[in-house]
Amino acid sequence: MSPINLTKLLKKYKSGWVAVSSDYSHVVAHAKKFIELQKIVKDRKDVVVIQAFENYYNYLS
Amino acid sequence: MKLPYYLAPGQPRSAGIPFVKVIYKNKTKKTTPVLTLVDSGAQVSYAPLDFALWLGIKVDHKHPLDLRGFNNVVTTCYPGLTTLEIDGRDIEIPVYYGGAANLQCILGQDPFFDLVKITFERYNNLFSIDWLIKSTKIN
Repeated sequence: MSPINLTKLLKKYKSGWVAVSSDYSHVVAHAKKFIELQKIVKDRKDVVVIQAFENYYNYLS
Repeated sequence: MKLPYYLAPGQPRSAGIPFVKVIYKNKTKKTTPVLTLVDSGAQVSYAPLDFALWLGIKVDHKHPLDLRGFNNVVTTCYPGLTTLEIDGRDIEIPVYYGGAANLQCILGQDPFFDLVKITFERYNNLFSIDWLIKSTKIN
């Protein structure tokens, strides 16, 4: 199985929240806060939301 | 279900992360699908406090949990019973909410890993989640 590569899509976002299309082809919206983003995308089912970080390599709990 | 790893920006190289799409729900409120880390190293599941605010979840202030991160920073979180839709199924588990907006969305062991069999195959860029229970609500 091939990994889903979000590297290019997320590269310019260092913080906040990003909504990307469900086929991972483009960014739909970006907001500093999760609630702001939810208000933008509302009930859209064709988006996926992800936290934006500069470096996901140290993404851990 | 077999799920792909995701590649995200990182240094020294792109990070391969086992994300699963989760819709967080409470009564009539819900989120859009959120990429949530499946983390066998986390004891519980947690998410930013904004999620609880958006969903109208009343967290339990009497049972706080101090989450200690890898860098030794302590974040106090509070549990709130939350419905999670994963792969078309609803499960209801406590999620610990707290911290700043950058607290990561994580599916930890208790109790999620009791409900599913999870197999990581990073070498194949995939992992699998197989339900062990039939009592979850299927959408």
